[in-house]
Amino acid sequence: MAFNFLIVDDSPVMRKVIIKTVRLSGVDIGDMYEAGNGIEGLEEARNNWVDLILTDINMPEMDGIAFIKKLKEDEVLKSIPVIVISTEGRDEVVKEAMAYGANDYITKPFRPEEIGNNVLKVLGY
Amino acid sequence: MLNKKDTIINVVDEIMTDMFFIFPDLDDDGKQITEGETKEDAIHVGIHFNTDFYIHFDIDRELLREMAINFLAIEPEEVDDEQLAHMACETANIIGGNYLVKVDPDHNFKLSIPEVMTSNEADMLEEGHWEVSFVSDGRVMKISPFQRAEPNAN
Repeated sequence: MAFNFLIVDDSPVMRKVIIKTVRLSGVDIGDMYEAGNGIEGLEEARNNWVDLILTDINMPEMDGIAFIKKLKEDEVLKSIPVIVISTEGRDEVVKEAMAYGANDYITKPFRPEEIGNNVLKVLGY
Repeated sequence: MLNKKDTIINVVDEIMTDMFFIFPDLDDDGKQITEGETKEDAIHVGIHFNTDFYIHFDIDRELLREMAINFLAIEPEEVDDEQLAHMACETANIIGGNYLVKVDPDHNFKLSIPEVMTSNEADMLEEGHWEVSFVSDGRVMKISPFQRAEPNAN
């Protein structure tokens, strides 16, 4: 079974790295969707079948916390698991993200295998 | 406890070596070199911590180029100016975020979105309180924090 991913990050460089890393993780990849902020992320999640979302926190227009909150308020989208990948490694930011329904958290700088391991864990591999 | 200058040196070191696989130059005594000047065409990027605290980065293009090659696993000819600018912003974001975790235990600050600035805009900045450089193979990333007021002073 192939999984579809949505990567939400305002940095195209970071989106590219995350996509490459996920592709190397051994997960069967279907489609990769990208968004530059939470608003675009919600749109992509509504318009496509998404199995897992990886999101940054510090983004313009709608940040990652607001994005997770909106996602989890949406009856259709709330079941999509979310992994946060962010520099905002402070306890209260992590707690806030998890309280709104994020499934896991990775702090930058990360090693590529860290993303792979977390993706596999959240997808139940 | 480390002072702010040593803290940022440690943060930069960790990120440059762990994430970008780039190692600092050492002097004859084996101590890390923390002074250096960037070239004229360096890329300038800044990140705010609320309105009163700001960190400015000047980064040599050749250093950013190697960071992009290592980080994105791409060939040198694939790196363009846009990628260098994005790499500079991401570097500022990661260093800023990690520094914030270490120096702001009371959570007074919130990180802004990093912004690239022109050389003219960078020249207009007042002098920072102090500056420190990460130097690798002679290529430099200079970091200068600016503190305008104490957080939550009013």
